[in-house]
Amino acid sequence: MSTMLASLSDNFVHAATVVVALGMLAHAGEWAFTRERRSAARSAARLASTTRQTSDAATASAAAGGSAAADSAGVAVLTPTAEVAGGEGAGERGESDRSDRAAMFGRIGVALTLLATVLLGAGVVTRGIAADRVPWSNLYEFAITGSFMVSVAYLVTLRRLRLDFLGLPITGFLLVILGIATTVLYTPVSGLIPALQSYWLVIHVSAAVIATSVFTLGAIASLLQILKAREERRLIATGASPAGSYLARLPSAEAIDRIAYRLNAFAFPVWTFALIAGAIWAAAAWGRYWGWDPKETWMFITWVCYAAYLHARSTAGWRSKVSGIALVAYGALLFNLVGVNFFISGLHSYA
Amino acid sequence: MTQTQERTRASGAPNPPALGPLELARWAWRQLTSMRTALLLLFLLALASVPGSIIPQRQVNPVVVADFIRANPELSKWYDRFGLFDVFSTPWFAAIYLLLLVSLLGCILPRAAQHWQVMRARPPAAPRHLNRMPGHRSWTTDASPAEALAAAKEQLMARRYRVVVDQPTDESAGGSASGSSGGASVAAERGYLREIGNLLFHVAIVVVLVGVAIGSLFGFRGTALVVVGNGFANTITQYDGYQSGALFTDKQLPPFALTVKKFMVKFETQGEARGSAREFGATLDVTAEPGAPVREYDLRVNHPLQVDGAEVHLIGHGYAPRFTVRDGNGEVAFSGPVPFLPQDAMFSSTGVVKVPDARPKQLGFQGFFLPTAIIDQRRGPTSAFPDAVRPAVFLTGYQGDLGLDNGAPQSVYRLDQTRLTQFRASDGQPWRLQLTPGQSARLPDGAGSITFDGYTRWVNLQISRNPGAPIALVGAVCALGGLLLSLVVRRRRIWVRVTEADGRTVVAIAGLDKSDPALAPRVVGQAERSAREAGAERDATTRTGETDLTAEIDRITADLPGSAATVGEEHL
Ligand code: HEM
Repeated sequence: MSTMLASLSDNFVHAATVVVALGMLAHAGEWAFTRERRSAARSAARLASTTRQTSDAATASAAAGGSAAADSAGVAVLTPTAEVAGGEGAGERGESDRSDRAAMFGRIGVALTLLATVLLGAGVVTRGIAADRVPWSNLYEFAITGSFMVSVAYLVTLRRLRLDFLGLPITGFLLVILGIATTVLYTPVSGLIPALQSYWLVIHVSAAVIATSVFTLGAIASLLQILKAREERRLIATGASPAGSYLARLPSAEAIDRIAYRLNAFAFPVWTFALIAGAIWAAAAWGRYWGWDPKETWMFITWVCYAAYLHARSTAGWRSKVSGIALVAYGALLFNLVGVNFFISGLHSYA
Repeated sequence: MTQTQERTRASGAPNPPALGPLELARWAWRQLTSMRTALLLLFLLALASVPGSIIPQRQVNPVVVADFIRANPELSKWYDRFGLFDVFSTPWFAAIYLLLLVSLLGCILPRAAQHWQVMRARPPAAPRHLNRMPGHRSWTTDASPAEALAAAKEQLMARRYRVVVDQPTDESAGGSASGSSGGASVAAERGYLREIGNLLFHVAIVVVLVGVAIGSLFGFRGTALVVVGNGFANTITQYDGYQSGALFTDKQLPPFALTVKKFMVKFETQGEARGSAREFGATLDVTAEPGAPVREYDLRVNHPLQVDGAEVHLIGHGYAPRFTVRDGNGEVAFSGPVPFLPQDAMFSSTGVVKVPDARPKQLGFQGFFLPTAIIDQRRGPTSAFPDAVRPAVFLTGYQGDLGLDNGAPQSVYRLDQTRLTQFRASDGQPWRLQLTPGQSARLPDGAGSITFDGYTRWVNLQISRNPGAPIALVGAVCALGGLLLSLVVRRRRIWVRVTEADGRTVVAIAGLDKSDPALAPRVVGQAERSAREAGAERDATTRTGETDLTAEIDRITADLPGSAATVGEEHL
């Protein structure tokens, strides 16, 4: 029973890896088709002009005492834009074909990510049932559970924070993690050592996994923010029009920064909670709540770095460095996950 | 928030003022309590912790430190000079966090006072030009100005805003039809808890540090190795390792006693984790103080014993082989279990047997105990499994003077060989023997015999008291609560102004989100908003803070009279 479930879990994880790879291809296709898109400035100008017309119309109807619903303005914008696009030459029509196709590839990418997430979730759950415990007692399980949580966090916040520009980097990231997990880190199912048998472990590690996955999204956003900010500075310096590159399609550096902040600011209290739960667990298991074990030390370093990130955002003169700080903090987090397990021995090195 | 930024900018001035000790002190204080210094100190704290995780720490693992010093004597001298084996108790580490503490208090106390003022003050009156606020709306309605005003007040109060109504002063009454000034207005503010949360968080950090300090001043921690069947009384002489805070005296040790009756351990027998312990626990008889009734306790990992303000944890276990040694006169000179210390995950254990009562010469043995003995081709005898499946001991023997009488303390796990001579076999090689339970061997030269009677297990107990832990826990929980408040609550101001134009009532509403300091107040134009709805311009979409604010204004607007007819952007 449990060996059957264990191999079922392995199959789920492998299937998820393949689906993520396909999802990444779809997102790559999305960018390939939007590559040639004309400058954002031009379409924005076009939009602004149509919008002005619409709001004038709305004003006129308001003045006439009619109660035309303001909502309809949104609809009204769409139609003229489509007409304008359609009314221009064949080149423009080709462009709109391309962007339709890009949108389709984008949707396929998200759908495949969703499927991969479901498969991965099944893999994590069957693994847990096979081992008869929570599935995170070694690096392999941490990796599959972590990538599951990252993709869940991505899918949940996708619409709310409009993260669709993260499709390609996220699927790429998941593919790398799952690839490493299934090849290098793979560990067959086994039980837990006694120090790990506690519900505080479940609480501590679930909080850490959730925080880690959201921090991961935040770090990807911060990385893109740095690239985008550099691109923006380059464009301003050279006066060039935005090239049809991946970067040109990203939201503005400022907007990405705000998204990164929201993600990190969500994850930070969760991480704080994981830290506290970990201390409570350590007190029960080892008779001291804090002992500067390497794992604890790095958890603390990560926490301090993210606190510095939050501070830097409201410190004059540091605003431009926050993404860098976020990446340093994420580096500390990664080192704790990987480096400490492999290079430094301590009570926690059970991987 | 803006105030902080301004304050910081002012204090971030690079040059100290020319002179005057008072000015200098004030300047230094402002430097110390600036956000920038806090930031640098946070980085410094993170950086200073790094060596503590890479270089072995006495506090964490003294044995590893001793090994390291033996292996790298030169380097260790330098490490020791900078306290790198005790990073977390060095003066320079303490200096960083104490500075951070001072900076924190110096920053947070004035802010608390300031927020106290803010909370008692009324929300700021409506600015002249509501349409310059990041989110705004205006429209005309048939309702009378008084009705509109009352509705606005009610709506905002229902949303738990603090509300003040400002009647127009004479000069501005009947102002322009643009709705940008004049007319009665409502000023509302909400989200004071955000700053309170932030203050709570920072104060709670101080509480955590106080808890840690109390723990290290008034607490104690010790370990004791107890062979199953034996007892432990809580006095300092019974500890193997013991450390206590500066303000804790040994007399304060709670006078409990316990006996380890049984110990049980189960090991994984299959798979990659073969040999790791799956479960272990000890059964104890505990007396809280002399004469108190005995109670039984099942001591397991994650399940410590609480007794008289102290906690007893099970932190390790091992084997104590039992020997009976007869001396050259044929008398039993020693009989009982001897704890051996595990050296690897398979519990290959080493230890020594000292027999000071042996005559004519004292006897000593040194060797190892293997719970599941196998002979490895390369490494010789070794243990293949941590459970006692096929136990065996391998020993060499010595006779002479154990050196116990000169009063110097001696490790029970090491033989002082200076005045001992090793037994030799007939071929001149050191004499060695291998015994399985029940076997005996004669010593060379008629020095006596030794019997391996079997084995008992021992447990390693940690006994500790940390009176600061509850304080630190309360601090940590408050910190978490404060953090959540400060990140979740949004601080907002909303203004509603009601004017009359052409016989109709014009209502204007605007809002400001003061939550995210990075969120520069900015006008979200109608064009941008429509563009967002059309999903055409990605950039406009992600101003989430403003979107939330706009949505809130929309929601409030929807409940006010006559909100359907929008006044165009250009008319504001
Ligand atoms: C042990 C050291 C400290 C830690 C761990 C810490 C941590 C934090 C965290 C996590 C936040 C984010 C909360 C939020 O965004 O609302 C924050 C905000 C803040 N901290 Fe600290 N802090 C420390 C010391 C200080 C010091 C010394 C100062 C004063 C100079 C300070 C001033 C502030 C201010 C003004 C904010 C609000 C900024 C904002 O609203 O974004 N903190 N702190």
